[in-house]
Amino acid sequence: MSDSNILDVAALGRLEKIGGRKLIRDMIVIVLDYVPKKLEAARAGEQAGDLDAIQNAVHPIRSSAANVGARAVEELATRIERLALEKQAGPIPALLRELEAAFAQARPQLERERDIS
Amino acid sequence: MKKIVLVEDNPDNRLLFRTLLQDLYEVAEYESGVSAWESLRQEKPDLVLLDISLPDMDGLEVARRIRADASLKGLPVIALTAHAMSGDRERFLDAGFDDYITKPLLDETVLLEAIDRCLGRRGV
Repeated sequence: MSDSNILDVAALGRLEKIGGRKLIRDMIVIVLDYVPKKLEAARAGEQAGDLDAIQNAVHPIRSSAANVGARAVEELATRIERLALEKQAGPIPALLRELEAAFAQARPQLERERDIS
Repeated sequence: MKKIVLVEDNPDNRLLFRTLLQDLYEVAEYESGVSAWESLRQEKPDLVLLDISLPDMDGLEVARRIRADASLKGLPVIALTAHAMSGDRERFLDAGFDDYITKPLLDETVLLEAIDRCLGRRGV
């Protein structure tokens, strides 16, 4: 995915319409703090073999990622949540690694958007 | 100014909803179902925006308690959900919600109109 496709500009545009650049900045600051905590919780759930914990961890990632237009993060979190709800543990570890990588890829783009004055 | 209690554990969603609502309503925020439930009688809100997936007491249980409480049962309650699965609407309305909003919020007018509808419907 190219840099320009990592973030959905329409999502950021919606935020700007509601609260200007300040809302974009403030939302990204929160997401950059919140999502890593939830990724950590998902990893802990994975290590404990606790599908409910994984589901509870990835569920809010969906929403946060969607709010700031991190589409790949949102899609992976959605897939993992569905698998966890359906008690299909097999594919989850690989998808969690993909989710972590997708967030790592989105992070510099989010930081750039955060730092635009 | 009418008062809305917002119950949402996701901090960026709280910021988004607060930004949308703060010029129109007084907004009191809670991060958990338990803390919201314990404060509702004191808050005396005109409407509740209630996330379904909460870490302790989920939104369905909070709604059930509101509807079972003599002093709160007429309170308009709108579900906030990222589930958006088939049958959700019926499930939430059956659980006592007046309406439901799907997250992420793609069009803020959907939220504002739902609030207007619910406040009007209950005659608050």
